[in-house]
Amino acid sequence: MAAMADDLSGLDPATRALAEGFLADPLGEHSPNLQRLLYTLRSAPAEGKHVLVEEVPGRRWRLARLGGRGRPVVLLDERFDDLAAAERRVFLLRLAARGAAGEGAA
Amino acid sequence: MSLAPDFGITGYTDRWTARPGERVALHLSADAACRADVRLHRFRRLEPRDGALELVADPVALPPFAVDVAPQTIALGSRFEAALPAGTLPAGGFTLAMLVRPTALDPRGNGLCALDCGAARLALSLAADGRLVLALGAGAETPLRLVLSHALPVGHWSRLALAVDPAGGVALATLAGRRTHAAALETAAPSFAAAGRLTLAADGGADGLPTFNGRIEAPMLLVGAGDPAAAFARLDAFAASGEAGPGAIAAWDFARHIDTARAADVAGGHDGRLVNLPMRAVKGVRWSGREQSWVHAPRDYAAVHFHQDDLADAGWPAAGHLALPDDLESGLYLIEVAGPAGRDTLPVFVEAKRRGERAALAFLAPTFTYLAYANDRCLLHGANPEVLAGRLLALTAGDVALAAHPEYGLSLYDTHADGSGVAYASRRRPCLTLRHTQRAWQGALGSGLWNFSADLLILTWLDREGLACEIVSDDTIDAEGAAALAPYRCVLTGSHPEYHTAASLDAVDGFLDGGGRLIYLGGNGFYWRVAVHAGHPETIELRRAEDGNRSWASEPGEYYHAFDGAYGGLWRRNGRPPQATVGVGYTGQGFLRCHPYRVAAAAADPRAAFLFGGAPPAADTPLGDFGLSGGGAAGIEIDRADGALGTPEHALTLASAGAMDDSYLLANEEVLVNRPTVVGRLSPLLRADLVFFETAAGGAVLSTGSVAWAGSLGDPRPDNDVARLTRNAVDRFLDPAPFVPPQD
Ligand SMILES: [Fe+2]
Repeated sequence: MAAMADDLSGLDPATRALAEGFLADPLGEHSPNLQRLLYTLRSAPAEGKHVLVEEVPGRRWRLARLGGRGRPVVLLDERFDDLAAAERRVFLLRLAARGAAGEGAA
Repeated sequence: MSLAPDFGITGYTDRWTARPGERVALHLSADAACRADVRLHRFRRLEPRDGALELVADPVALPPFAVDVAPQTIALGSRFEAALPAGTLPAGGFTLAMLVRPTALDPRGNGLCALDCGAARLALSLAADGRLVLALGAGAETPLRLVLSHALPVGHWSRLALAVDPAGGVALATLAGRRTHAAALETAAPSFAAAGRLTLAADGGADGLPTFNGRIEAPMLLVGAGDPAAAFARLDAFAASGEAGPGAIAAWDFARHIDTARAADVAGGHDGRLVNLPMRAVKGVRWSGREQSWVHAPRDYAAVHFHQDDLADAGWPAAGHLALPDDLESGLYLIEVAGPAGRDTLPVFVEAKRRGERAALAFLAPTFTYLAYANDRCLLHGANPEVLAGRLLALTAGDVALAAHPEYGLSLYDTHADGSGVAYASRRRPCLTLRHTQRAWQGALGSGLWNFSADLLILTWLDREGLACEIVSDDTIDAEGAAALAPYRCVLTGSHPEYHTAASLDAVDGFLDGGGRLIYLGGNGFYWRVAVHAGHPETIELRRAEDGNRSWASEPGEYYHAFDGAYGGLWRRNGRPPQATVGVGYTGQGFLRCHPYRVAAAAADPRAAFLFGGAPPAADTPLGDFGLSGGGAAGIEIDRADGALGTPEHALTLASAGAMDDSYLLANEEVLVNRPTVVGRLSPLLRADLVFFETAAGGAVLSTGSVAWAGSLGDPRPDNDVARLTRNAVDRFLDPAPFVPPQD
């Protein structure tokens, strides 16, 4: 969690405020603006999309990416014992990828 | 105990419902050949432990039983095959003509047709760019190949004629619109006089290409290898009339026997068969919109739609047959197959030897819905699930195995590789979502149990309550009608009895008409109409017609089932809204969290007193403010009462959950002009109603209108108002004293 502030430092103030709202409670009810940002991030096509794979049901999940139609899931070397932590991690990965692609705020 | 499958061994059974004394065929494959032990367990319950649910099952004493399991493959994709006896194809030359409309091309290319007669082989395939590839050869010699310079246009019909002249070679001509293309392989053609086979929509196996995606109509074999224009004229005449005309060797009219897998040869009697059930009752070249049903205008539907990912039968040999003991009690059983290569655990619902002998209560296992969702891959290749789930997707071992095995086929929620909807679902293949360990994003936060696995929570509750209950499945009531339910005084549905045939819905209505008592423990029930294939009873058909929540939409003009000619889609669009059967009907969905109901004033009505032990809670008291599915009893897919849709006038809405969050969306069929108030609390229609009513026949219905009800029912907490209310309902519904609707 300590690295979080750094991860947000490159964001414009409006997006940063939304991101802070998400990180505070990833599975809570979100503001309309944050919800819009999440719809955008979650609408990505399946190929390459981050997902979790259950390792121990209800207790441990592994980060993975979907291969897309007809292709296997690609397992990554990151594990979570808490779903909210996984949500935060993937949210930041997606925000970073979006920043790299030069997209603006929702 | 977990009995969790790891899919190192994977299998399917020939049936999902059986009776004591019957044999269940075990079709199995293993990553590495091994000997595996087969054990039978009776499902008892799921118990929360360390953040997960642990299986409690009783072993069934059986003689030791082991089977040899070897790796198996699956030939995915549908095709047409017709045997051609020796001498069918004349030595003087012949022409194969047909109408073709490709819908998608695989990067590896796709087989289109092949003639294999003795050693002679002629095959036509499509390259990745749609160009036609002709191959001609005999025996072991390397075939001559010709890659044509033009492509068959995707999404358009072309006429195609392939003429074989023993002296001059093979000439191929196509006509798309007004553009004719011709090419020839000028060589001495081998003789095709030996007995052989015509394959359409595939390469006959020799080249191992994916099968064809698209439609084929009016394939015919003509005497002579002459002018392609003459062949095209014959083709047009055949497509128009269904008559082959003089001099045809064979002419397969796909407009006949649409409800079968048979392709009638109207010229030579060489009937073909459709392998892996390609889609029928699809528009052909002649369709104009004048008629919408193949029953009225079969000539407009003389095409067959093939897909490279169709699968009706995996075709694995039975590794063994499990004989169910003659005295086995009705219940859900798990067939464990475990060996060095791994484990699979196959569920089977065992019905009673003599129905009603051990219980007056039955659980109606919604096997049609399990089948509709079987191998749901939307989460693996669609963009919607995470948006609808409102959280990251968490894949199970089953999901991961599905992704690694595209050859296990698709679900009725998926689209084919060419983008068309998957309209047929078969259980003669591994159906990995039908496992006690399966969870899904649709199951909401918490246990994530969904569909089959969510219904385990209903069985869990029955076990905990010590209520004797027998099983009857959708398959059984489809085949046997209301008589299969009549021995029971009270029937419980599953959490999501969404798919019904006309016969299975008639059976439920017939049970109620006979005074039966029904507790609908779910949501989104009695929603889609499906049909069973007469020749392939393990397969159902769905048309996602003009309305409803649809993961794909049927094409215009294709709303009628091939299997039975009936108008498909929503039961509501067939004049039978769910409200007319159970008092409530689908109104919306949300997959993140669930909510409590609030008790309504009607709960104080003396008619409902038995549900609350004579002490109804005050209006607005929460009901089901907890649960293993989303944390509330109301949610996931929810139903509402609506007099305009058939809820009986005297029905009592005892409680409602109207304060859904904004992840809930109103059902499409409620939307005429779309407006931004179709979400959560903004929509007054978006609510789950708990409804009770008596029937004129002395029976009664209690409907929960929520998929998540089972999640609260299965919660073992001591103070469980959902479980208490359900128990009160069962106790009264088992009492023979008739219910009487209010007289006003
Ligand atoms: Fe559903």
